[in-house]
Amino acid sequence: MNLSSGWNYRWHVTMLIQKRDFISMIFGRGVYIVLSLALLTAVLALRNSLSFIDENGLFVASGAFTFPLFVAIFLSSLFLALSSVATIARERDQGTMEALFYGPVDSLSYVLGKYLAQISLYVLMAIVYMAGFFLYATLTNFTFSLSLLWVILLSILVASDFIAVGIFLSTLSSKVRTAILLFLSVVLLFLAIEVGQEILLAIPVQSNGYYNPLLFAQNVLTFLNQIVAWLSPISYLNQGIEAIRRGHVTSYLIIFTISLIYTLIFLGLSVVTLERKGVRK
Amino acid sequence: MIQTERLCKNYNGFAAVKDVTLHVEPNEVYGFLGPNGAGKTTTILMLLGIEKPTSGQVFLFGQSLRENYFEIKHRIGVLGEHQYFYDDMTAREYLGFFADLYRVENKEERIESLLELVDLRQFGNVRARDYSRGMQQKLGMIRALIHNPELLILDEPVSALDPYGILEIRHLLQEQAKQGKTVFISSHILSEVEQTADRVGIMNRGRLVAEDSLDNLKLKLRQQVELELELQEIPPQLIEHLSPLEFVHEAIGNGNKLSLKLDATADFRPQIFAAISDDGGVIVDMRTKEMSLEEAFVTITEQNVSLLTGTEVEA
Repeated sequence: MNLSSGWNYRWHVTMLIQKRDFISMIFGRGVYIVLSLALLTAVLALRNSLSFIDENGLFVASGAFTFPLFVAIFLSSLFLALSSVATIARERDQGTMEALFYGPVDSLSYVLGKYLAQISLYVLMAIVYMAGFFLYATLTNFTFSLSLLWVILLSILVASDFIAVGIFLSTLSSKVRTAILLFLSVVLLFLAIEVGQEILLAIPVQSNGYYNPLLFAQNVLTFLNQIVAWLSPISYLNQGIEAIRRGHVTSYLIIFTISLIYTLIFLGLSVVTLERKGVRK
Repeated sequence: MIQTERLCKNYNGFAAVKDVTLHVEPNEVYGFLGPNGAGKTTTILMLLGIEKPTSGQVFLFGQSLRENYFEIKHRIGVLGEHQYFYDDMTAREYLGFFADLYRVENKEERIESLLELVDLRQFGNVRARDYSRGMQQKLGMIRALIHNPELLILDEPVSALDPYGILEIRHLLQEQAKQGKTVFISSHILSEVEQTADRVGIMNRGRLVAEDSLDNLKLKLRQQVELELELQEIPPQLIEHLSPLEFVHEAIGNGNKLSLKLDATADFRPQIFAAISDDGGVIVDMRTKEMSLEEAFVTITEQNVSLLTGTEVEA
């Protein structure tokens, strides 16, 4: 077997792992609960927009789908990240990962297979959202603009970032519970930094020539928030939506590229961690 | 087929495997023995690339896994120490998944014939996790065979089986050996290895303390030969005449039976015959008591490693 057929075999193995996980998730309840929740939120938000139009005598409401879509993307990404966090830790915990590695499976094919299963599920969910929104737009005469497609395209990369982080955290732990706690801790930390900064910035600081600890705390949290902005996939989604809204194609493409690199970095880290940590319980 | 060079594995300063250099020839059945904690499973995991050696090298089919990972893995069938199954898969689905992984042609046919071989065909649509331990062991075994590998690496293949299951797996292994496959069996069930292995390697405290054919191992360990004779009757002075002979370590008479422990450095049976004949004794039956693998194993691992290696084993 030469090098090219080695890659060929790796791809074969990757796709098998992807298929197994994808089918397993499709037959699970989680994906349908998230889809229902996201679509329900969207319908409620759109009804709200309809009432707003009605009450204010407007004919047009721009960007009515942006918020529902944001919620759908956020919920789906969070679900897939949690699912990714559980997937590798569970397989290691159950020992099925070890059985796979007895055979022609290596860390790269395994991580890629897991990643592709999750991202293909997201693509399927995104198609359902688009179909749902398109149907709603047809029924209500809401504008279904092309920009929504750009948001959806970016959302695939945002979901991909979430999944890659989930997989990375999963490779760090041998227990599902530990992996999920680790993920939730990271999410809560990011939230705490963002909310903390907003609260502190709302407090006016009076400079009287002395060192002010509040000012220091504000500076620290602002700095941390800048780091979070680089690390949190949601901030890429926000920036991307803003770029689409303003019609800044270059900004959109930069965010798109950074998101892609983000995914590749975390997938690479996952492969290295799996190699180092091993596949045993 | 399998070659390791000074393989070592340390876990936080604890040396689980020390300088293991073993070799397994093509088409042979190699028994890998050792008490619990001897380092057998760690060695197997290093062979498979699942554990990274601290130092040393592993070659399978003359190549390292780094050189040709997928091809080498494709030529090996592995049965691990414990069996792990996906919660949602039936036995048939499980085998189908691995058949796909190994790109097995005519996989349905292959799966059915293997299930039939271990009497699991009627349970093929039962979830594998609901199987008994013995059934899971057999399912793991046929998973290892699904792609008709050239080399089988089996870690405790009969540990969870009842006597009938042991017999089934033994026949299966003998069949694989007949087909020219190389089989590497790690086991603590010595009688099992004795019945199937051509050569054995014995691990003790992380070291490979012996590697040879069973007969040679027994020969090396044999300091004394035990001779059991049945006479028409034991002449009154025979024991007194035999005991002073320098190659006789012990002579015990019991009725018409005589038990002798002789020096193993040469065949002293002619001298024994002559002594009995001189005293007027008539030999009815005579047999040499063979050392079982179990005895050899205990001797090696507990007492006389120095007999094989010429060195004392560190504590």
